[in-house]
Amino acid sequence: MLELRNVAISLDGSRLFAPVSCRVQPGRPLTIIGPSGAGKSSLLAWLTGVLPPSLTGEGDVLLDGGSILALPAHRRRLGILFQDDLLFPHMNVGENLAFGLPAGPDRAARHRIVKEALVRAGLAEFAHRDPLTLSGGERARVALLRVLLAEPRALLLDEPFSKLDLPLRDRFRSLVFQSAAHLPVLLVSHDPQDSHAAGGDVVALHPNHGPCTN
Amino acid sequence: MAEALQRVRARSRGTRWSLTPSFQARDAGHKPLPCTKKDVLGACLPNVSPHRAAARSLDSAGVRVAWLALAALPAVAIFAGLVFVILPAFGYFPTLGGTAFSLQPWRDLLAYPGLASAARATLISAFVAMPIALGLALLALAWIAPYGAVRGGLPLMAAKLLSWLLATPHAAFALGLAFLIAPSGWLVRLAALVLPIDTPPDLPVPRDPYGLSLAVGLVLKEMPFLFFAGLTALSQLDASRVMAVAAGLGYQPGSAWLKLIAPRLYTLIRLPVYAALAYALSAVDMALVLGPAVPPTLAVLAVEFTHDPDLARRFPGASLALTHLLLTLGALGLWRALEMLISHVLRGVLADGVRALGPFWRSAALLGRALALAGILLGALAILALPLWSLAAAWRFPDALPDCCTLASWRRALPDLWLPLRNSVSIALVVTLLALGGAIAWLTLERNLAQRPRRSGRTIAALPLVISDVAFLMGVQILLLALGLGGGWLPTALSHTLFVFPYVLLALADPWAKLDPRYERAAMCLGAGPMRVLLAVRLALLLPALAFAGALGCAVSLSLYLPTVLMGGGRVATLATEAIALSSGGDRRVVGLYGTTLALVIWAGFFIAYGIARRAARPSSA
Repeated sequence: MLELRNVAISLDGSRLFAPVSCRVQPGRPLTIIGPSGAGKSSLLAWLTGVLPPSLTGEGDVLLDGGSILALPAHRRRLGILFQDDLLFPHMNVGENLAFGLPAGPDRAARHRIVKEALVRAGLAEFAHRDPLTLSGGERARVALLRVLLAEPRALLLDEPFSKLDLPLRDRFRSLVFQSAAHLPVLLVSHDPQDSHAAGGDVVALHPNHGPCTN
Repeated sequence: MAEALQRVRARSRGTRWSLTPSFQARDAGHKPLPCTKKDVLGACLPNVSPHRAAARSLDSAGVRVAWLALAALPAVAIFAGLVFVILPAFGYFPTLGGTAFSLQPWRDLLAYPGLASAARATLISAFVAMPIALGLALLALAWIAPYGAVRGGLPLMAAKLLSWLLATPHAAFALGLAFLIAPSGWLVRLAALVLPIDTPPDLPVPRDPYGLSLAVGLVLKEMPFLFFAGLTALSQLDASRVMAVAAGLGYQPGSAWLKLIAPRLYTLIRLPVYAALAYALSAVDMALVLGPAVPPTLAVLAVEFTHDPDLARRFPGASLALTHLLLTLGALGLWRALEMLISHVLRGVLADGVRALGPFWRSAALLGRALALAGILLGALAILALPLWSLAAAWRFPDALPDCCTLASWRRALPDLWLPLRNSVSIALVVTLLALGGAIAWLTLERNLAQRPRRSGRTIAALPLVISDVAFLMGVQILLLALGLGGGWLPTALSHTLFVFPYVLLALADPWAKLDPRYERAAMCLGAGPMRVLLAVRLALLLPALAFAGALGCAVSLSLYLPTVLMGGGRVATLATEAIALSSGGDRRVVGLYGTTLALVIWAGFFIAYGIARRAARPSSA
């Protein structure tokens, strides 16, 4: 379970939004919605440990009961999907996936795991493809596979659906929620549609000077 | 690499679409105008009659010819130079008495006793210096600006020092470094503060027979060059988000940087790397100060052949220049082969899933960072040594500091300084203006071109930076000789243009492509003609980039040594040639003074550019 306790982000001492608290259970995605500039992406950056030094975060974040704030970014094991797929362009699809896979045991086994993952995702012949030659939907699926192969403890989604066109968006959205059903999933979006589709709780970020409901 | 090309291609496709008024106007002639939101230009198209559109496309045929002429100039110069090196290299050159092809020049050349050691020193200095310079530049980047933005504190200071190192001309830097590492130099004097040293130790530096002092100089001078090339390239890599993704996948920052940023960064700075390698092989100014003396490096040796009063020596000289060209091409090929080997080996490592750097890489990174810092400090000391010597009243061994300070050397030297200063500055200004004009014309004309000629055009323009300048300049010199033309100001300036133009073009190309094309479309829609759009919108908005490109052009011209020596025919003394010529004389005060003046002039150029950029950053409030 992922839990945020009185979490807020501040710029020059003033909070971007009123502190929020929430719990995210596996299988029940939680959506944080707010207008652009409300601090949604900064919130995710803080959770993952890559907040720019000009911003500061407060509150506590617990993953499976333990605070993760003291951990460096790469130890938190929070997988994140962005609007852009950010597939590494100097590696082919298979290498991108292997990059996500934990180290070991040997090259052949890694190949096999990657292959199987591709087959399950309906991308069987894609291992040697250049990411640039993939369609938007295929790229999004590879990015999702890559995150999941890294065995994260929770999944964060930074509007990953907004660049896809509508029919694709719905399919990809349900794929994400299905394949991450065993994980706490936290989604930030400015699109109310996303929160509907996620089906779980919705938390709205309010500008700090506005009314405070959380 | 393919990705970067793709991205560049995609971007220029977009630019081409949006910046080709003739193409759009032709469409407008026979189609009702679609009023789409992306077509701002569409709003003003009703004013363009089919007749005018035809006139414009004629224009664009004209500009294509103009662009071709512009692109052909460097190619023709290089081609002519190479022809007139190849002919005499095989004994044929009637003006000099060679009426039949023969291998005699090669026999003469091979009979030259120092040839093998000259080649050895050339190759050692370049192949020791380049990997180290590249490695240190990348490590410095990973430390100073891992995401493309310079970090505050010590990294910021290091970056500032690096920019000073970059802006210091090769000749001046070599002179400063020679002061530093000589047996009676500053480093030994500093050591004497704590060690019992009272006579200069017996060391073969600088000018050691293996070219290692030269290698040190090349490392310190090419590291800042590659660092800033990399810093520019980093901005295209979206590094901070890539690193965030990698952190989300559990990658420790060092490992993520090495696997995700470094390989792509390298492919983006390949041209600067090749240029640095070519420079390392053909540097004459640095080699005259830091390289071995007898025999010198190949490039220096070739220049010595051309200075021989016996004109018959031009034949083996041409063979040597041709050898140097082949050596450069071979070295570039070898470097490319090493690249492919390394990328093949590392390919498997990229996707092995190891999240943290092993102890080897960690200690290599620490060592490299320490070395980079030491190099930066050494470079700063070398630069500082020049003005200090020029102000020294007396500086006896082993004093760490001179008896400060007197302007006597400056007062004595000023009358002699005036002429080279005037030559240097006049050539630099004229050449830079020519190059800026050429680059603006080039980039304006380029919009009408398809991708392929555009890319090969830029490759041709950059040729003088990556092939042996020794070879083709010597050919041009032989050609001038054959035509009965001596060297002088004009040939010197023209030869400078060959080297200044590619730098100015490359410096301008990126900001040029990045400028939001909608400004120009908006201006066109307000009724501004093409010239007014260019001057009042594009160039005005690009003023900071123009200023820096100009300062860069001046810096390149002011530091050029070889073209000045070969094309000046001994009649065009510049600050760079005088400083190098005086360095063998031994009066460190005078040498320091010329080196300081040279560096000051170049720095002044950058300061002016900086001032212009700052003024341009805010609208005038008058």
